[in-house]
Amino acid sequence: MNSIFLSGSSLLLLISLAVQLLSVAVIWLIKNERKAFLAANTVLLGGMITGLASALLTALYPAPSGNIILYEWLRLDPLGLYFLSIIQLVAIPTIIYNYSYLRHHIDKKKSVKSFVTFFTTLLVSTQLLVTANHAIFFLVCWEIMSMAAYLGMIFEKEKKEVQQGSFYYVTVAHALIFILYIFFFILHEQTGSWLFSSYHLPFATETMGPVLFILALIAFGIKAGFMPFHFWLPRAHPIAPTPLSAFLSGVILKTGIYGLFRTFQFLCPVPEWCGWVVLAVSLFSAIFGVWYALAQHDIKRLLAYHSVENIGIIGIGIGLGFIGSANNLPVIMYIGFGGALLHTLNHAIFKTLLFIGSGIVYQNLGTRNIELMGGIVHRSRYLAIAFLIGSVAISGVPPLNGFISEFIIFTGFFATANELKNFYPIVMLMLVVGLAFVGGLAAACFTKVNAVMFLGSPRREIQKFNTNVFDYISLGILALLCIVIGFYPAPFVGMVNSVIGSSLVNGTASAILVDMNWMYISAIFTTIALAVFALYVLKIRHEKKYGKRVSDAWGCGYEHITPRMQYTASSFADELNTIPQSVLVYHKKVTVSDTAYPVESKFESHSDDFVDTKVLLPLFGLLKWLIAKFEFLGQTDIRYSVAFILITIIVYSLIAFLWV
Amino acid sequence: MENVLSILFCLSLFYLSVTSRVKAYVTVLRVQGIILTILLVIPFLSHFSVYGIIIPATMLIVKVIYIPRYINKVILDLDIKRRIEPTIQQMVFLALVIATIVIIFFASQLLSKSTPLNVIPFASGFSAIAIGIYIIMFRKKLIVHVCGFLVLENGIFLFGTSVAFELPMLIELGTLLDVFVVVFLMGIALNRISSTFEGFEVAHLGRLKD
Amino acid sequence: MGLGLLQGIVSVLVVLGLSPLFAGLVNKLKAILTGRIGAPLLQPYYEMQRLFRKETINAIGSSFISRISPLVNLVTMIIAAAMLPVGFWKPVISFDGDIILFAYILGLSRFFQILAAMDIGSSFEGMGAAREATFALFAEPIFFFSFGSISFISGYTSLYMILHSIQHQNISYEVFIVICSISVFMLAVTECSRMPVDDPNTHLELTMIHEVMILDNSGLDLFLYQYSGYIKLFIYAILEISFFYPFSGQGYLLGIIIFITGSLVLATALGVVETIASRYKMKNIPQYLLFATAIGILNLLIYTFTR
Repeated sequence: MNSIFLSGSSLLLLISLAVQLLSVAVIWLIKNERKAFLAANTVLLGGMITGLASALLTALYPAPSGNIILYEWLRLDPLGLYFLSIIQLVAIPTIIYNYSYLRHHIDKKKSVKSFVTFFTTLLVSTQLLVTANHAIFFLVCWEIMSMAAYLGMIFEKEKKEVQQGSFYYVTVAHALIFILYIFFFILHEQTGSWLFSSYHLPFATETMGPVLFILALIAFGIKAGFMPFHFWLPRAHPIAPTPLSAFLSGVILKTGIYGLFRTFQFLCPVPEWCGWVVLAVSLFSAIFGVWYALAQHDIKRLLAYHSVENIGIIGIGIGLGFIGSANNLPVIMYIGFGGALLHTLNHAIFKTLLFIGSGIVYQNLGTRNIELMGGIVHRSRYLAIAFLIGSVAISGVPPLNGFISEFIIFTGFFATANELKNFYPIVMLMLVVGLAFVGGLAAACFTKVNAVMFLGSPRREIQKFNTNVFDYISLGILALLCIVIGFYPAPFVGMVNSVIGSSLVNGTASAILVDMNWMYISAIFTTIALAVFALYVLKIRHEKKYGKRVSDAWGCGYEHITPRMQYTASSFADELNTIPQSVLVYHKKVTVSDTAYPVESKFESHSDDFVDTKVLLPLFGLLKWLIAKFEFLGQTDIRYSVAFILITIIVYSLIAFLWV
Repeated sequence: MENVLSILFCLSLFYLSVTSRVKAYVTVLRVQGIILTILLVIPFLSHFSVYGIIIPATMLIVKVIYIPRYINKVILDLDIKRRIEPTIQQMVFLALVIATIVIIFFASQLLSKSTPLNVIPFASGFSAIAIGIYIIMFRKKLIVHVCGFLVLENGIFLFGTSVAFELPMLIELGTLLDVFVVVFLMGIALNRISSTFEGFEVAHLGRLKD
Repeated sequence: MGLGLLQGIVSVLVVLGLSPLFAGLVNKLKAILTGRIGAPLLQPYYEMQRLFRKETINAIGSSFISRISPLVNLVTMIIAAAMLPVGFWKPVISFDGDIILFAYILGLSRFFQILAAMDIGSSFEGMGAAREATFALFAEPIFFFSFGSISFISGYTSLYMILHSIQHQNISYEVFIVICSISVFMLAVTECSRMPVDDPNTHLELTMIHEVMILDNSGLDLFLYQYSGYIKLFIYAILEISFFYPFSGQGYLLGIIIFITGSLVLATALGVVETIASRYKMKNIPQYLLFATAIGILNLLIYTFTR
């Protein structure tokens, strides 16, 4: 009975993928652009919902030993299934938002056919990626995913910044896949197999262990956007069309996290230094990701930097799990990985929400510079509420979902300190403080974004502000998910717990995650919500009795207050940005008159990325210089070239000869 | 008791790294002198000896009374401004100090496994040495450099008490004399500089070729 | 269970009822120390009563945020108060890991307060909000350092159990606790916007931190903000008192006596600090907070290495 049902659900998954691909055919077959797009998007949405249903069915009725979908190539283990459901969950609101976003472009007589094609390809390849059980197939999916993302990214290819940013992306994506090739070739050489399920090389017994780990950390770390490798992220994400950038930030980054988990599966148990490396890199990403974010004025760029921060938080969880694995403490593995997995889901949700929200604002105002926004709450209150929910969630503030995963990670620190005495308490305390600091920075950053974008009065006249029902549906779904996970985390934690139990920790069951006082937290959060509501009702009654009116804000006696006098994003963040001057390259330029005659005063500020200015630029400068040294090779005639080929061959043969 | 005093000593170091007044430096030096004196007196509470009390007494006179008073006098005489004129942000300086102290404590913990030493005074003394050097590195005023040097010297003292139970008295007296002479020389040098140049910054020393 | 819950509810009510009195006490003591007679002890109650009867005025251009933020503030403060042991009675909310919830609940109130300040769209409020965000960032580590270190030493993660675990052990532990309490005191001064950081009696908008954020609130909104401010002060006072409560579990009467004397002593301490300290420059405040953190770090290092 069970097995029939099971094959049914995996069949459903394949069907859903096929349906999604069908939308590509639909959009090219129908002539009328608008109709073609509507039909294709609906087909895509249908396919995605079917896919989510199949994933849920598979989760509810799990197979005793993995779930083979198609030969050994496609296989859904709980980890893959978890990531698959994240992808589908986030894809649905994004597709719904497409209705609104792309219709806007169709109105402007811009062809969206190719974009829909690439977007669909991206969705399908990402879903296949987490289902893949064959290394080559995985690499193929990875490549298709990267290329589709690139091709979708150049939707507005006439813009200069789009050309530059996407070029950055495609270069990094290719550099990355080379490392992945090496990684999988070594794995293949060691095991003689291409199948993921047969890779099991315990780190300790394997000489290639450290090499594999470092390769995986670099490759997947680039994809996920850990700090020294994050440089492509704030360039590529802002220029992509909104649905794509939402999906890129929400989901595609998580494929890097997925890769790290897979690597852990291959290599477990890992030694302790791996855990420390991951922890250090992650804490660094978390703190400086959010600090850079604080200095940005471009909303999408800011959100991209925030992805770096959240990936860092996820990485902290993974690092804790690694330490647990090294010390053979399943409890810590459960908490660390649990926090990481749950934060992966949460980040996917709220980051997509924020990207879509900022996309709607961008579409209406035509600028991504938050210094020119303001007062949107008076134009579209629901958008402001949805964005507020996203901001509260991403700052890790209760009562929404961001808090839940950070809470788990915090608990992980305390648990680690208790389990492993020695010097661990001090290090863990440093991490606790580090994470609290990150939380504080994130709160500062998102109060800034929210306040400057939505509150106050508009800094530049808002001509029109149109939103439509599709915007609200997609935002609503995501906001609702944030609220549900925040107020009622128990089932989600249970889900994460079972994923870890069945695919990351071998055999040892532990109910530590489930046993945390989730009911308490639910009760407290519900109390907060109800109390605020009740007090609000009372407040309205009070206002009826004692009166209520609006009046001008206090201007210290000054009469001509204009919206441009409001606190801006740069002034809000100024004090924080000037502190870490050595790391955050933050420039301010003020032009004021220092004579008796007034001249036009100006203020401008912008920030550079440390990795950009201090690492990448010098590096490429060096490369350029080196290559220039060899320029003479290209200019000589063919005989020299042939001679060089010959020399190369001789050198290689000599090396090979000596090696053998 | 030694530990408590070392904690106070470390706290005084933190205070040094946030304050921006020359006066506060002198006060901290005085406090540190008192702490060190108490530290030296403690062993004699149980078995008193006239001979042993000489160092604490000298300490008290030189470090708590004489040197601070002398520095104050120099400040007054030469009308030195009250700000210490740091070369880097105070915030960064404090962060640097915290990082250094953490590293030193961990290092001394590791060291204490192989050699018998009292970790807290050892690490506190070591930190004082480091911070004395920092003060000299990151401050412009010459008078502050003198204070930095004295902090460094205090560090060596504390460091010494933790390594051996008591240093040979002669050496301790020697160091004290050393410090005394150095401060004296600095005072004279400052007087000279002030009569030669306006201001008392190290930048001027570069021009003082002989 | 029943008795425990009752005790918890009573302690929340105590906090809610007595917090303005505590603020009045601090102000009175400060007045006496500076040689004035000062406002009556119950002045905060009178002020709240006056504010309660006034009409609510919102600024033009403010949105729903300004309207709900005072409520969120009060509710979060009550929830935070419900996690604290008053006179060492078991609080209503107490579970493993509630120390994190406590810090983040306070973070929620701050989040909304900053938003509400920015909501007015005046640069005065913006200034206050920016300062609050900056200083809160540096204040958060102090809380985690002091309570986190006690928590790591005792192995508990619930605020009640953490505070309960503070007992007479040996001299180095006592020194540790005293220094912890100093850094918590520095934190409390910042969070409650008291003297060396923020002057509650200042009259210039440019120099305010907390006051300027609620500059444009009036009537019920101001009432709620002030009330939650009083509760916050009292919450930190309770945290501070709990450090000096080494006789845990020795009867309720003793607990209550110590609670009362502790409040008096703490109010005096605050009054003294406010009298003798002058206010720091705005740009030196992060440094002041980092100093408190440094004390925490040093303290922990020394304690762990003496064990």
